[in-house]
Amino acid sequence: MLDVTLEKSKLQEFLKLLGQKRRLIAPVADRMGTIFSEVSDPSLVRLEGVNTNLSPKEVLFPQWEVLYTFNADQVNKAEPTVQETMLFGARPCDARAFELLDRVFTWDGINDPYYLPRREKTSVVSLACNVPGEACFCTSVGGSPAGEFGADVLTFDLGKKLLLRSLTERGEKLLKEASTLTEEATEADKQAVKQAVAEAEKRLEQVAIPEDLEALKGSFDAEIWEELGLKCLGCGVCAYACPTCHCFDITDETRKGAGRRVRSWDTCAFSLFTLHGSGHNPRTTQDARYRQRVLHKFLYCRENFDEAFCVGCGRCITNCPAGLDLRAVLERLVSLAKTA
Amino acid sequence: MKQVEDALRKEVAKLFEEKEVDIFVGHEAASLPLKTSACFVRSSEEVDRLVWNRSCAANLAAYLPQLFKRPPGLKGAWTPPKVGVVVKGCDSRSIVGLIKEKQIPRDRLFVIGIGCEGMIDRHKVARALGTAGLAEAKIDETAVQAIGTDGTEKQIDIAEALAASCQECQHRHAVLADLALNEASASPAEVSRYANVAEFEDKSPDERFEHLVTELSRCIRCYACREACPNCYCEECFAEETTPKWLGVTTDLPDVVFFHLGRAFHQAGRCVDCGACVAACPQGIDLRLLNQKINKDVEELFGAEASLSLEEAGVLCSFRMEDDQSFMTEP
Repeated sequence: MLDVTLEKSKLQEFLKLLGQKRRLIAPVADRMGTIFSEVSDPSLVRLEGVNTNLSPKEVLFPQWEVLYTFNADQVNKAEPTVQETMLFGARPCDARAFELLDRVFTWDGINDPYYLPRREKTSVVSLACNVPGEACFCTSVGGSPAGEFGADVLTFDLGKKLLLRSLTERGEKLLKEASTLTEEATEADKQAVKQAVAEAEKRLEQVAIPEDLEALKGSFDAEIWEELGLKCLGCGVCAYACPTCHCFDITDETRKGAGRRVRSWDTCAFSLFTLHGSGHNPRTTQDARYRQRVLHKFLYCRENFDEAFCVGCGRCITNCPAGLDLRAVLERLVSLAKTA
Repeated sequence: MKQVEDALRKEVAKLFEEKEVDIFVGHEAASLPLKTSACFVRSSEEVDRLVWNRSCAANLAAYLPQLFKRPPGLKGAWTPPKVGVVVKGCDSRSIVGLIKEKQIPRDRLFVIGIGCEGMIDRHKVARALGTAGLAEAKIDETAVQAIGTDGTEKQIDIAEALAASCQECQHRHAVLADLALNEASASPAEVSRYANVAEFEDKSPDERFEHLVTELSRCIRCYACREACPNCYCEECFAEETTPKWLGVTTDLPDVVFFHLGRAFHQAGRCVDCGACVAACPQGIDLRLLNQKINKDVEELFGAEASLSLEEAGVLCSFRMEDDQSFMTEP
């Protein structure tokens, strides 16, 4: 582990230096707050504020990509666009989400040949949160405003300077590459970090999370889903903004005897999600679709991956056009388990 | 507003006591400031869930057709429920449209109309606040006081904080109501309508194209605009049809533009400019512009605004010899 500090006035130089050998993706100002974008001018990078409106999942798992191209005679595997990349300023919840996505895309020994090359080429330099966003609840789901999972370097904003802490070998190499700009962190810096983390944790709301998997199974036919289903509009905002939602659709697009096979994000909230070719749809109502989203995250993923697929970033809450709040649903499930 | 809210609760309780409705659709507080959520009240004991404030932006008409659908798998006779709903001017026009398009039955509906003074655009307030999250919002007659998660405070004039649709709204009272509340307080907005459209029309074709590209390239294909729109009730949207497949699934410009232009054209003569699509969009796309351009054309060509009365047929559902036909060209 390497702890170094960087004067904020040298941040642009730092990003420029590391950006010489790799693509830089970082938060930039956007009409919806901040958003991750490929950056060629480091002066545009924004560290202030809370987490971005949409997650950086797209860096590793793009909204859509071509898997194959084909014509009447042959099928060719499309090579994923892979570039050496530094994702700078991802929040600890987002970095942790990568660690969860890794489990999906390597599940059962099957390595996704499109996701993994990107993951391998992407260094994640995360940024600890001093101020939580309006719907953040990372500490309730096993995360922390200074969580380390999924990142190579964790950055702390100490006001006039940043403390950068390497978490992996790749992270250490990255910091050494820019060592001309940094200084060794002092004990006082490290103390300041501890204090900032403790303060940020204090500001985060605690949400009751349903832990009893049997009780969650028992909630399948609970009445609570009915009203939630009526409220849920059936759009894809929650899943598309979510850093851990990973469901996709595969579509063939053909034209004049040639075509391509496209993988694109999909969501259980869409009525088409489970529509069979026969016309049968096992999830006929929005209740069932909304329930699927919650139980997939908090029950099925725990069964399959030993961990709930929620990092508490709150984006599904801030972005929901129907005003639905996952935290409230989780608390209802907890109280339902108690009364069962 | 508190008075209107109290009156609403009282009237809804009466509807349940008199068995006028089986279910009442209103707004309830959501967990985040300046947000509400549709709520489905089923008895007079639940009426205190109902709220009426500056955050009731959702167009509740969008939630109605599902209540009149026969539950899937149900065998035997089924009577649709009697549904009550609280509406603003725009919502009431959507209801008129849905009745005329036979998506909801007038005789199973009890409409409470509230004279609306305009709803706050949450995105605008968040934007004014800067990069912090919105922790709290205090609203009085003249201003919104926004407080960020980092403690920053910002005061925004209420007229500025209103949704664009509300700033230009000409129909603040319900055009269809079984009961009207807050009748006196709302008057039409004194602004030039279609100001945004006029500005767009004045641009050169290249500039117009660039504007559309800037806006629509933000789209993430989540369909929140479509789902929040009362007019988008199709069982199968053209965007997802597979035989034929009209457009692809990508976020490439041709797919995105096709979806949004297709949706806008399907709104011709039907859009009531409620702003629900704008409020729903997680990317803050100016979805209103396309719809307003078409609304302006419809008004100029046919002298009609969408869904102002049950009696008048929609402009694309009727033909008059004197209708403007200048847009027709020789093949």
